[in-house]
Amino acid sequence: MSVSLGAIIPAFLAILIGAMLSYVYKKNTKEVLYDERMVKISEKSSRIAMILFAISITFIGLFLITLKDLYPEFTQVGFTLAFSAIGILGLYYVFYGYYNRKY
Amino acid sequence: MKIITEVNDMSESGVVLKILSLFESGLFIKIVSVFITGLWITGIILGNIYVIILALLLLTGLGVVLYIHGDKLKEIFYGDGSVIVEDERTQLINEKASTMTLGVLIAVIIWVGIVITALRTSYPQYSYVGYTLFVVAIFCLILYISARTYYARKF
Repeated sequence: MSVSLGAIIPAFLAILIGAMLSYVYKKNTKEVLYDERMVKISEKSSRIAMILFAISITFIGLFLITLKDLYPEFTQVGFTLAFSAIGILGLYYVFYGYYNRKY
Repeated sequence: MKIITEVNDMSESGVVLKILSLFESGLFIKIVSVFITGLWITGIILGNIYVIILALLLLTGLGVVLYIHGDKLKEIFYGDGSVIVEDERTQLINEKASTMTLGVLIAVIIWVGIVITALRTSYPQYSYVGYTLFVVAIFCLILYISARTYYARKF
């Protein structure tokens, strides 16, 4: 609703309340939510999804930036996608470094 | 005389084989990769879609070569088949890092998208970015759900 109204404070509150509710729900749940198979499936699917996602947005971003003379209104979208791809790589290397030390 | 001709034929086919093997060598593939990267950068700087299409075609060709020689990649890039590229530990680290990256990325993209879209009255020039981030998040979720369905059936 805040997004449709164009107001920032309710949006922040919604995110905060959602995160808190999710945390409280997980903390109070005692039953097994994940078994080893599900974790393995989740990890494998995350890996392939991340690779495909990174490649796709990189190519789409590159195309949109390249076509800046023909479609200048989509250049910003292209840069957003390209920066998202850089963000993925940055995040991935941070987490890779973390798990490399952990295991 | 006949023996000399046969020896010449053999040496010629040897040269041809050597030239063909050069195309499958690690150095050649690395050079092509660098060239393709150069094409990407040139295409973006010049804003020329044909350069990008050429890079994409070359990349597809390279992908086909790597796919065909998928079982020989270690020899191609390392020259030694005994070199271990990925063991169980690195696989585990890769998978865990990917899971965390994807989770954090989707959350951040949705949050930033919400914030930018909510601020569209103050900063209308960024409204496209907000919508793009929403679409990107949905695309990422679709990819993840598809992969999850595939692996749930596989295991």
